[in-house]
Amino acid sequence: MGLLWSMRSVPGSCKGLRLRKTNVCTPQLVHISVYDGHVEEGFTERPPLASVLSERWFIGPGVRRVEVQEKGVRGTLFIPPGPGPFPGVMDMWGVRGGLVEYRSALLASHGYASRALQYFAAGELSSASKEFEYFEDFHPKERVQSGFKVRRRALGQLQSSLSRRGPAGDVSQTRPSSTMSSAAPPILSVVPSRALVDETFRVTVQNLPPSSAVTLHSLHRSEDEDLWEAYGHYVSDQRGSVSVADDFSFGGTYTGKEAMGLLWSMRPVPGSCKGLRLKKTNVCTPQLVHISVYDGHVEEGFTERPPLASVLSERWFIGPGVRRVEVQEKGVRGTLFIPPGPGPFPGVMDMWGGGGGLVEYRSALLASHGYASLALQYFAAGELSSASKEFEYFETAFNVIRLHPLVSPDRVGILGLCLGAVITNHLAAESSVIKPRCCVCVSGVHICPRGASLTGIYQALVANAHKTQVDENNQEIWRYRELPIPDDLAKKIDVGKINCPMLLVNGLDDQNLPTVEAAEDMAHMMRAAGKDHLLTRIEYPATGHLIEPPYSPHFRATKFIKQVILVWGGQTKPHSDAQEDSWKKILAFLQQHLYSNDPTGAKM
Amino acid sequence: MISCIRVFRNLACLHRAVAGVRWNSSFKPAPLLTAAPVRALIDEHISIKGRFLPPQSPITVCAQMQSDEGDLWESFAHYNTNADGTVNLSRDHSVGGLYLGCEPMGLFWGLQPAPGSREGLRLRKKNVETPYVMLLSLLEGHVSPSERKTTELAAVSTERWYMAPGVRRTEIRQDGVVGTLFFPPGPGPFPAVLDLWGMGGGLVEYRAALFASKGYASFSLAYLGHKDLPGPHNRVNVGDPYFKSAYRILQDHRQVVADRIGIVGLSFGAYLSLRIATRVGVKPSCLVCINGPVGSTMLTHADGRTENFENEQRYWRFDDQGCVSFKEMSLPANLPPESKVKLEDLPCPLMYIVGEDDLSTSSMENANLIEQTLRAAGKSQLFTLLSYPGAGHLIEPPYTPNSRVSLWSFKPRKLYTLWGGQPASHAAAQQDAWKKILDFLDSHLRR
Repeated sequence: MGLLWSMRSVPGSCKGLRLRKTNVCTPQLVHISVYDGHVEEGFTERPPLASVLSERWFIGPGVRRVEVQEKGVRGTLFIPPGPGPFPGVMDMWGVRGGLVEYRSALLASHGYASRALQYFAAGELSSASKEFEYFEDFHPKERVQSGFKVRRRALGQLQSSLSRRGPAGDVSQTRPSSTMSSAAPPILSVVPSRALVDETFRVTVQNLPPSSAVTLHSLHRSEDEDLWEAYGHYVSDQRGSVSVADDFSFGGTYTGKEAMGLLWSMRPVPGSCKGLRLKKTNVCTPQLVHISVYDGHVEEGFTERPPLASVLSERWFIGPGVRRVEVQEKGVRGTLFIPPGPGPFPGVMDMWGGGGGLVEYRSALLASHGYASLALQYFAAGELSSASKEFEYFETAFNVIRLHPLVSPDRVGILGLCLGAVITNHLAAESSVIKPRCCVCVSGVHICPRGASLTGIYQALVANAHKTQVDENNQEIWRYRELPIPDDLAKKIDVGKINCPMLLVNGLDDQNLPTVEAAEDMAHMMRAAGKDHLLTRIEYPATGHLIEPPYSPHFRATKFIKQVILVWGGQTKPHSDAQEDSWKKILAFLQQHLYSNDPTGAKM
Repeated sequence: MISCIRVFRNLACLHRAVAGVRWNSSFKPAPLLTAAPVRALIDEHISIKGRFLPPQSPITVCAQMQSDEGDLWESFAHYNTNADGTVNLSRDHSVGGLYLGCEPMGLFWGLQPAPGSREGLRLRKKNVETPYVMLLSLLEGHVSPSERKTTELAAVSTERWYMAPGVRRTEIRQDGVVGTLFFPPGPGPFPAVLDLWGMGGGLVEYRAALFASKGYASFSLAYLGHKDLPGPHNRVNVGDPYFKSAYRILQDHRQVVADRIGIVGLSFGAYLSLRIATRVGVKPSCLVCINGPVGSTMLTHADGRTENFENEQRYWRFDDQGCVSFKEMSLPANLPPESKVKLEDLPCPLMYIVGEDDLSTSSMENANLIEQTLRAAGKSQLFTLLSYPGAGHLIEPPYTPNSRVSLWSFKPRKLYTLWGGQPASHAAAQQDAWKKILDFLDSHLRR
């Protein structure tokens, strides 16, 4: 709803304006338009691509508005449609005075007989002189107003009295109160309890005392035995319920309405080693996340105190029926994940970056979405300095997946992150052997000495080692090693030769590679070659280098090799939003280019 | 949502990008079948969709799985894809196969033993610590999966669980009591359910496992036909003290809220639930009775022990296939007065569930008797009746298949018994009844 709540008066307006509806019987009219390009000003002078008109009403159909002037009391009564009697609300505004009706109109649209009360004239606070009897007189115990009964209720009681109807409906009416001697324990539920890592869950707590402070906490023990946690501070509603998706966290590792905050804001528990990164090695088992609710707003010492309730949630990278096949063919090392079913399936070659080793989890997840996916190892973990594969290795690997009997040979794409994205760019532009149908480059650049192998890339990186910067914690920032983007075509991939659709996903706060500058240069080169129609760029604010599948924790800086901690960048909340959004867009892009038979009709 | 994504190329560009790609004539269609969520509890809804199919074409969706005993179960239905080449089981109508119409979960409740299987099978999960693994497939045309020549277009696998992650399973052999306790994850204490099945005997755990997955400590109790119970195995050799001990075990457990215990029983288990609530000196908070009688023709002792089930065949009725119906055994007029529970002593709310096509118990007649007795005793506010047309005796958790007939005994002869129930009506009853059971337990045990 940002187009409404972020509204402000247009530049050049008077200062200090406030938007208040006086005539509640008419709607607010809001014109919504779409303009070409990223426009910041001068909206009125340029023609929009399209416009629509939206009506925003305070008053619902059938709500009756009655002006009240009796016993010296001044106000407006709003009555919902229907016979009543309705619960009632006396509605008062503050120091500005006057008669302000719109909130009452809205309350009546939600079933309350609501009275907007004036108690001094607008702007006349200094002359406000009503006695408290004024407010009491106005509130008769029970009265018939315009033929409809309005029952008196204190505001605080309102919500609880309405919520007293249990979820069981009429069934609960038969309950004798005698069976309820001991307090009902809180109920914590996580649904679904087993899910793929990119699926959302709903965390709810019931049976808490009304308006009580509680902390929701998640705890995960990684395969390396490190403990990761996240927590949010909540206040239960009048029914004693908390819903993580619908309620605000007022503090903790995340704030606000964040359905998945208990996962994406996870971080190592206090006292853990520095620079940890959460990476699932065994994809055949789920990540186990203990979700607990604690009394009060807790910030530390979770393990020492008993929770009110706990449940266990399983988060899987691999769906049931996905086959995991270790590949050792023609010198290619990797793991192929094949979806259930007869196939043939579209294929994806999936490469990670400079950390090396065999990283399977993203491929397992891709297979769970219908792609035969090859997690390709191209150098041993932590051995970037000895990485020496020639590009033939990647061409061979691409053909291993392409020629697999369960893979559709015309429907194979490449997905790479970091160094893997550099290789993806290179293959897409330079290979005469393979023709990927589409490519996705996450946090990659196109900087690579012409004709070089991995050794050459590494050497170029080392040659620029003096450009490394460090932050205040002596953690290394590498992005400047690759800056400025070379003009010399011998030092970069000629992306103008790319002949397949290319999706670039980058973070504007990438501290490891100058991906945004590179993307700009790539766009320039492709445009010059008449290929800009093949390029789609998505860039996320305050997002770092390691853009992982959704709800994975954000790692701003982690241990890379030996004593080196690298800064990846990003702020937790926007980075997590970017992970969620980019994964959807990557899956849509792959589906459009690898699954759809009629890509022109498909939607991105 | 991201407030500020910079997307530098609009959709029109993407379309041009695609148009620029040369299409290979060997570019074969790649249909996709998805299920979400792929791992679910047995009572959770699964959304099944097929995409990238030829438009307006006949296809068959089928499901296959193996029971714990190794029998193959399958179901299938015929659909026509939409103009956009999709099929969505939550939206589209089946035009043929094992069910008709819009039945989002039809593939699950429509399961049948594959042709050529053993006779009289009933699908019951033995090992609740593993899921049912169901393979869902899309087949070309309107076919039957048993046909020799079918073309599988796509498939997806789903797991259906009775046990949620973190639920603990403990076998109980204590004070002669035989059963299995399930606890939800977390410290508790939890409200609890005592779970009783019928004269089929043995230890049946799956419903109790599912109750634990919903946050209840639950105790599945065996009372006949189990090797750790006194024999012979075709009669009930334990009486009221046994059930009292079982109730106490549950009640005394440190993770159970002692005064928040409900009892759920089906068939003879429903009779036992009523007995426990009125005769043995315990005070449950609520009862759920499914298709059970208020008395028994088989009792030999005042404490509830019975004779051999086969001894008393006076009220057995056989249909023209030779299958037996036990329905008349529980007609109120046939129930010995001394076996009947004193409903006027009922201490707690009772939900009674009737399958109107029950061929194994005279459920409606018993329901009427309960209602009249409670009304006469001024306790009608304790009574909730749910009655389902077309539903049979075995009203179980939802999305599981109904067996209208199943094998009752091998010895002295192979005997099949009638349970009743029409597939679609029974499935609808299971779905609705389960939700109402959970709501009922929730309001009486957790509020």
